[in-house]
Amino acid sequence: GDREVLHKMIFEKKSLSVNFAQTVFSADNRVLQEQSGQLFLLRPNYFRMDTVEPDASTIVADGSDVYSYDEMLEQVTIYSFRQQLDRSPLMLVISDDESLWNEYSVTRGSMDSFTVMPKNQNANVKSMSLSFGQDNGLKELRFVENDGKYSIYNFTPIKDSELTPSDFKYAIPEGVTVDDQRSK
Amino acid sequence: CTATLTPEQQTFREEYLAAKKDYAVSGKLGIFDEKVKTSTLLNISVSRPDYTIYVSGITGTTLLKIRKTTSLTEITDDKGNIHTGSNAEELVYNLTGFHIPCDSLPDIVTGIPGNNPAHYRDDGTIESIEFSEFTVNYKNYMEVNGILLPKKIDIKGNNFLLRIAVNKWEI
Repeated sequence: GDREVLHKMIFEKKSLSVNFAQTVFSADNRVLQEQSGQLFLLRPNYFRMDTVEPDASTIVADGSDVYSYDEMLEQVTIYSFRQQLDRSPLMLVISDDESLWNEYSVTRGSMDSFTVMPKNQNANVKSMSLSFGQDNGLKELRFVENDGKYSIYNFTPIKDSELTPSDFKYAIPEGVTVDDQRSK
Repeated sequence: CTATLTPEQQTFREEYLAAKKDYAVSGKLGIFDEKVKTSTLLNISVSRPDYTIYVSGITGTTLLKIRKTTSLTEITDDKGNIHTGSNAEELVYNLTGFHIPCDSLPDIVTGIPGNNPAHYRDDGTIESIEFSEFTVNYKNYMEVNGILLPKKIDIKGNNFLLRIAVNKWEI
């Protein structure tokens, strides 16, 4: 079905290196927030997001845990992969966990776009849509919240370099606070 | 951003900003209190005397929406529940445990002393303003349409610190 087609398109490209620009809009289409930086994916479960604006922060999923470093706070927060997913729908696109994907219904829109809806109605995110470019790379991800606010990620390819798990090792900087949320 | 303001320019800047009815600022908000440090995305949209403050998670999902008009103070939480009251700061504290001086934020982010004591740097920019329950430090500025506006702001209370990093002004 549509989900299998989406899976194939997502997992066809084993790794992805892109610049991202995220814009958050209010329900009445005003720009609320903007973020930009770089995003690296190595499927399944490896992910790195280096945000530059409005402030420096880094999120790294090393295959089992997720490290979220915030320069402003001088703090690294460690989450389990699952916890991070609840915080960021973006993580879904790197996961091949069937039980996870079973919580979503997938409908194909046009040739290169899909709508992903959580089956759990109380989820904060009402729906997500993914669009792919000619090279089948992820071009845009959009998610809409229950209150009508929506976020658009635009991706532009950096270079088609082969990434490896060692690119996703994360060393906690000296002298920062470490907040381990995994057991909570 | 280095610039020098003469006393006349200081006065002009403050009067110009105080007279501004509609503006918006967005960026990042770091919240430091005794127990926790957390960072969020922030947007303050002002249409004096009303304002709306959006506090979002790092990926953009809503954590708090604080809307204040002359007749209404309303807070929407991350589950979409709506809470009303008369004092926005109190409502936010009861919901989150965080001190956010909502009613003062529109003046804090633009750097308008009002009747509060202000300290100026040699270059004429405001270094700090002492409000009744906290002190605001303006660490650096950015120029927007010829007007110097705060870029990095610390709001220091007895038991909390808020750190704002602005990345966009609409004024």
